[in-house]
Amino acid sequence: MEHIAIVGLAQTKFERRKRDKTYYDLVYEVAKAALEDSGLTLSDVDNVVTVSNDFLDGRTISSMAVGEAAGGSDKNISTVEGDGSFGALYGAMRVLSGFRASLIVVHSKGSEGNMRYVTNAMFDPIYHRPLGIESIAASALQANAYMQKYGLSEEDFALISVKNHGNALHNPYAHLPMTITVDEVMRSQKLADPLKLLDCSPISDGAAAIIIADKSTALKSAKKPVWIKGIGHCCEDYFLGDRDLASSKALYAAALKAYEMAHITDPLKEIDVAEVYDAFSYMEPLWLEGLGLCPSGRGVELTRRGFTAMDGDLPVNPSGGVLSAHAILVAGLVRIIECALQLRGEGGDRQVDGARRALAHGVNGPCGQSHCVWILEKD
Amino acid sequence: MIQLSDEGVVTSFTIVRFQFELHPTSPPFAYALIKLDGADVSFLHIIKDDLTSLRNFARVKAVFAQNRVGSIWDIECFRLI
Repeated sequence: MEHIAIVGLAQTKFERRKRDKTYYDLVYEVAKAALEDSGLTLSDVDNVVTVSNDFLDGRTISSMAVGEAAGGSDKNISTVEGDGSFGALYGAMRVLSGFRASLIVVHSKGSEGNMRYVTNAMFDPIYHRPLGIESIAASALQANAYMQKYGLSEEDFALISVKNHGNALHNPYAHLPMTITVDEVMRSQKLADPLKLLDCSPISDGAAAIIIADKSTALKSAKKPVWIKGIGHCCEDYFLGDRDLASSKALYAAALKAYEMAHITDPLKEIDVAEVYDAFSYMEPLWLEGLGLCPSGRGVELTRRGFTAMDGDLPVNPSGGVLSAHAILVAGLVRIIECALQLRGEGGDRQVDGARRALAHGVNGPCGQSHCVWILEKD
Repeated sequence: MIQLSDEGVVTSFTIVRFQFELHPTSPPFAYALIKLDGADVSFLHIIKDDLTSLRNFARVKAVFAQNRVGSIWDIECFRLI
C-alpha cells in the first residue's frame, strides 16, 4: 500500500448528556481541533467525510446539517452511515485514490433519542423488528451462544468489565471510569441474561475527528505521522439465526487481510497495543479470538492471565474501551484515535511503554455483523 | 420450497428482564433462536412460559394464533415440549 498516515486527531470528552452542544457544535469543535493538532490548514484538506445516522440524529439526510461545521462547504464532501472506523476506511480510500487529505468527522448524541427504539429499528421489518428485539437482547443471545459453545461463565465476562472500567480511570475522555469488582458486576441489575448493567456500555454523547493524508502532506504536518500499514474489512449475514454468533468469521477474514497488508505473521507477538469494540463485556474476548490472537474459546484466558492488562504483553483497551464510553458511530473512530495517541507517545497516564505497532477495531451492525481492522505504526 | 416443522431446538436464548415499550409482553420472557426441524439456520421468536426450565438444546413447538394475518405474530410464541 502507498504511504498514507493519520496526521491529526481530536475527540471530545464523552458523557451522558452534552446539554450545551448541538451536533453542529460538536462537529465544529473536533474538526477544528484535529486541524490544529495536524498543523495543517483547511486548504490542505481536499475532501471531507462525515459520519452520521438519521435515526440517531432525528432527521433525514443527517449529513446535510454537519458538512459546513466540518469545513466542507466548498469541498468534495460525502458521508458514511455506520461506524466511524468505516468512515475512516472511506477517507483512507479517498487519499489512496488521489486526494491529498481527508478529514473524517463523526458525532452522536445518544441522549437525544431512545437508543432502544433506534437499535430495534436496525432489524428487518418482517421477522425481527416486530418482536421488539433491540441491541441488548440481541447481544445477550450472542453472549449465551458464546458461553454455551465454550463453557464460559458470567464471571469470565465480568473480568473484562472490571479491567476496562479500571483502565478508564486513566483516560480523561472516558465517560465511565470506575473501580469495580467482579462481585459488583455480578450483582448489577439483570437486563437480559447473561448480561447485566455493568456488562453493557453506556449511552454517551460525543464526537471525534481524524485527518488522513498522503505522504507529502503527512511530512509537512506538525506531529509525527502515524502510518496506516494495513486495513481489512468484512461483513457477514444480517439475520442473527444465519450466523454462528459464537465465532466471527467476518472478523477473522478482516484481520487476515489487515495482517497480510501490514506483513504481520504473528499478531500476538508483533502488535503492542489493541483497542477493540467492546460494546458488551463478552465482546472483547470474542473479538480477540476473531482477530486470531488466541484460539477460539480462549479469549477470556488472555485477560485471566493478565496478558491484556496495562502491564501485560498485549494491553487491550488501555482507554477503557467502548464499555467506558460509547457514543455510537464515534466509538470505532475513537479506537483508531486511541491507537494513534499510543504510537505518538501521547497516551498520558494510559500510555503503553514502547508501543510501535497498534491494532484498532470497529464494528457495524447487530452482534458484530461487519468488522474493520486497522494496523497502525510509527516510524 | 422446503416445508419446515413447527417444532425445533433452541440454539440460543436470553431471558429479558427490563421493560421496553416495544416488547411483546411483560418481562420476564425469552427471546430464542430456534432451529426448526428441517432447517439449517435458526429462527427468532419468543418463549413466555416455563422459563426456569429453558435451556440450550431444549425442544420447543410453535403456538399458532387463532387469527392469522400474514405476520410474524401468526405465531404467538413457542412453548417447551
